[in-house]
Amino acid sequence: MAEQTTSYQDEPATRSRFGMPAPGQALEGPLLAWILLAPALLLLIVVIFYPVAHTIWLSFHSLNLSEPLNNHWIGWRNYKNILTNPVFGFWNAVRFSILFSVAVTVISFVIGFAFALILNERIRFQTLWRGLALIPWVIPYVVVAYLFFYMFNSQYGIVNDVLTSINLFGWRPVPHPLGWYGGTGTLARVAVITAAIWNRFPFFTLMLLAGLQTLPQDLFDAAKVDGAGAFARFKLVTLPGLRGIIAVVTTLSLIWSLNEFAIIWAMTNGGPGVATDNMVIHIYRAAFIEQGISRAATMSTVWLLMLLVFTYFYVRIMEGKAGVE
Amino acid sequence: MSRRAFTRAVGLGLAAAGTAGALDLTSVAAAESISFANWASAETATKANIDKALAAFAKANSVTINNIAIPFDQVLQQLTTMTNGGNPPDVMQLSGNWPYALGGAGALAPLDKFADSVPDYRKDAFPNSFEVGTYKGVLYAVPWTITPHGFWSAKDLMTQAGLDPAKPPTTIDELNSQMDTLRAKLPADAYPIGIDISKTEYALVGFWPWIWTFGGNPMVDDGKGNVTINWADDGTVAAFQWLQDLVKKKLTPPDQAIKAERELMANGKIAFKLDGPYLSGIFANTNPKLSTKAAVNEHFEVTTTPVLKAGNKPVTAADIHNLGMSSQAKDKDLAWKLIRFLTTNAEVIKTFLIPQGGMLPIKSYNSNAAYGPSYADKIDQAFINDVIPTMRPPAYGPRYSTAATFIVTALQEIAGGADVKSRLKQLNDAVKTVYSS
Amino acid sequence: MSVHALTPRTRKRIGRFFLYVALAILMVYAFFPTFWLISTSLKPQLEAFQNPPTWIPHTITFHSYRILPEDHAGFVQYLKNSFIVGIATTVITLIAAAHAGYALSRFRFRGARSLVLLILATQMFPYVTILISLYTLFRQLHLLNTYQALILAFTAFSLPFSIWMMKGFCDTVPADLEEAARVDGASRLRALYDVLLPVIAPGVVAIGLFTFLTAWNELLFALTLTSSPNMRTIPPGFVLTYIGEFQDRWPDMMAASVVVSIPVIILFTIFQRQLVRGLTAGAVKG
Repeated sequence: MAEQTTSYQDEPATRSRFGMPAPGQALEGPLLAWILLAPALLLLIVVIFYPVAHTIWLSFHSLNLSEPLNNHWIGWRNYKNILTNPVFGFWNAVRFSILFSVAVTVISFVIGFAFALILNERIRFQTLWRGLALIPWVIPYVVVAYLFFYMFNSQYGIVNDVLTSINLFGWRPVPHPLGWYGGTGTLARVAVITAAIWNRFPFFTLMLLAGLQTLPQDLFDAAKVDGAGAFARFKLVTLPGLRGIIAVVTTLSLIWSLNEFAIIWAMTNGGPGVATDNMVIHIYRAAFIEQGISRAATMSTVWLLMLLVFTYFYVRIMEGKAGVE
Repeated sequence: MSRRAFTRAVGLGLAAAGTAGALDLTSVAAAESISFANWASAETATKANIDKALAAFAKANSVTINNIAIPFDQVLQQLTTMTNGGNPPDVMQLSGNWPYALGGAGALAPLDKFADSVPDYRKDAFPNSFEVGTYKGVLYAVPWTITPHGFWSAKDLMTQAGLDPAKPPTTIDELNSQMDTLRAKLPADAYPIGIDISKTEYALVGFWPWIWTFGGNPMVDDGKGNVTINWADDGTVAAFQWLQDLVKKKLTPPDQAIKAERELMANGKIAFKLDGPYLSGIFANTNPKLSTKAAVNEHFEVTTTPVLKAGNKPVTAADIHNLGMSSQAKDKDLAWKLIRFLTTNAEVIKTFLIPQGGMLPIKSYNSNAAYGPSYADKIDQAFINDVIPTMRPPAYGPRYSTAATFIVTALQEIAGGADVKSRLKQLNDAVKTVYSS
Repeated sequence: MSVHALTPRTRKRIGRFFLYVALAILMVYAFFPTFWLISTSLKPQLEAFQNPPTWIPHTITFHSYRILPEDHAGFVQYLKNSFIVGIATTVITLIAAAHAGYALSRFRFRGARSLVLLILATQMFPYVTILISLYTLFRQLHLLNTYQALILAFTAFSLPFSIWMMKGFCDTVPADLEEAARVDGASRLRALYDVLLPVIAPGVVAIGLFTFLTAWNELLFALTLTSSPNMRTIPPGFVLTYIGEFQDRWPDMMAASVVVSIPVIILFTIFQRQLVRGLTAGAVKG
């Protein structure tokens, strides 16, 4: 009886036999599933879903905390304003959020992967190096943000000191200190991205190193016998073997970077101008500096919808991967 | 069926949550308590002192004080959240536009009745120190420390450049020519002047004096909440053009916030700068050579903002810290008592207000027998006699903070090389949108 | 002389040489900021703002370290709060996520798929927006300024990721393993506790560390949901103490960070092996 209501992943789903367990039998089926899910779901409903629903509700209102009494239903007007009026800076924030998270993810992936490949070789003090490579990840995140803010200071920062002291046979690529947080904003973008990469690459190292260790050695040996060089082995064996894990970690990294807050807040606050204004900073300012709660709620809702589309592809990738296996 | 299962699961969860709630023993109601939100007690240097003073108040009035320390950068966000969450602090330390952001929203209690009950309270005050807490004729915040920006000059750097350290610039022309001399004579990593070019509302407090000095009048409040806006007037354009030239000619660091520039000045890397009276204390904390007021006076001089033409009146922004009371405060008399205590109590003044470096809110205190000696040095006297009388309130109001975001964004872009006139026109449109919506 | 003319041994040595060079460059990138953190922590305030900056402090001072243990109401309390909140969050998250992940992995029921999607999507909402709603809610529940508030909030924030990972781990374990136990008469939950959990233990450790780090690093909600200084965790506490209105105190902040990072690094080193195994198992099959 009980076995029929149970469906392990390899069996076809049986949806008809929902029901209370017969007397004397242990709890089973969907009821048990919901009970197991209940604590987590309850917490999510109270702490996240309810406030999110409230936020969406607010996005159709005109709540500005500097005039809280002037709060009424205004339909889609916030949406129209945000999506069409460049004064609100929504699309600028979308663009920078995407640029930021793609740059951070791609570069920290490359660095993290390089680290993983090296640490996967047999080298001296392997365990020590592996442990040390994780340090950037465990220093409190706000401190990472302020540390980079400090290091990139144009006047007393170490980054400018190092750059201006580079002297290759008379060629000095950076003769004068750079104003990282000023100018047109390109340098500020480089600075915040560099800081975020430093915090992120150990995550990639860890995951990819783990992935590398699961690759069967005989595949490499076979490739070697066939005369494949190191690069060919990497291309033919390593990469395909890690495809699944690469899809997962890059997607996670993209999601985290899309909602980055601390680093930008500490380093540039979105400036100079709007050069590093990403979505979370933009929403934070709209809500708490400009007191435009409804406008912030609207931007969050649109952003959520955009990320949901992203989730959809995410799940597709996951399922595609499962199909390969 | 699955619905019933779900209902059960939810019921189970609710029961669990109920149990968790019952276990919550931390929220024990006290007889009477009063909460005070501030950033004064957040900063280590002053933490112990203010705590001690608050304990004395608690004991004298047999209440408990709930001290809420908030980092300066998050004060407005926290106060907004607390107020809208229905749990505002009874008394709060405020600054800049915050009394307006909160007062306009109805979050602050009018203090006129309380203030008027104190004889000579408004009379014995620095000019405009009550105005920056008043919106549409209602007093929402009273002054706590008076901290406007004066014009600081580093005598050592001036001497090094061959200038007379006793003669800091009094006009913009003098300032410009002295800056050129300094630029020519000083090493590349030292700058003639420090301007705050960060993306913060405070950067605008630092830039208002320059805008006004150049004759700009981009935002004027008529006292009834009506604001006239023209960000493209000639004076404003001139001020922003001046800023852009400063960056281009490397007369100011291109991207620094005021906090970093204070450290640079303590390190002998900045010659001129608009900053508050507390700068002495910051120098003392940073540089052992400047650890006494006498030493600071030996190396620095303070005067008023240079003027555009001789004969013009110098000007600075009325930048003060004030105290406000929540409109939801249960015991308003007690809250007022705390405000009075914080502004007049000898312990608070001696252990907190004086070391913090601002001028005392009651004007005569600054020269009386008890506290006068702490303000007798040349720099403090310059603040009291010369700088503070030039204070002018910016057009603060409920929408000012939103406008300020647009303004500092433009300020950064202009410093970074954007075309001044067209950028200011664009800013003008944006600010007008803010005020018209 | 072409590369092919080299003996295999020489080629191997050259390869090794480049490997170490690459490792050295990467290590410099990985460690320089950490080095700078430590170097700054040993400087007096004045020297921290000196231009050009000094690599090794001219005046080495332990002042920034010495003030830490004396700061009972501040630093010591922040550290204690962070550990209490971090550990409680981790434990509750693991319990809730283990059951939820198991349910999503082993049962098929109406709405399961949508639920997984919903949980995934939850990770993506910009949480800053729910700050005010959550604050209001917690006030009504009388939870403000308590450990419970932080623990509940952080648990909710780490649950989506944890549930999803936990489901992945459960999926990797063949169902027959449990079935064997169940034939012997074990109940569903017994099978979970006695058979499944021991198998996926590395994954549980991995999720635990992730969760701990989430709670350890959270700033905005930690700041908002607590108000008294003695309830602050490390991130808001540090911002409160070291990022002043007038002055940023980098040496003091860096020294404090060095001290708080050490226990976490130890924690990570202890669990590193399990973590590596755990993450692989979950993510590859997830």
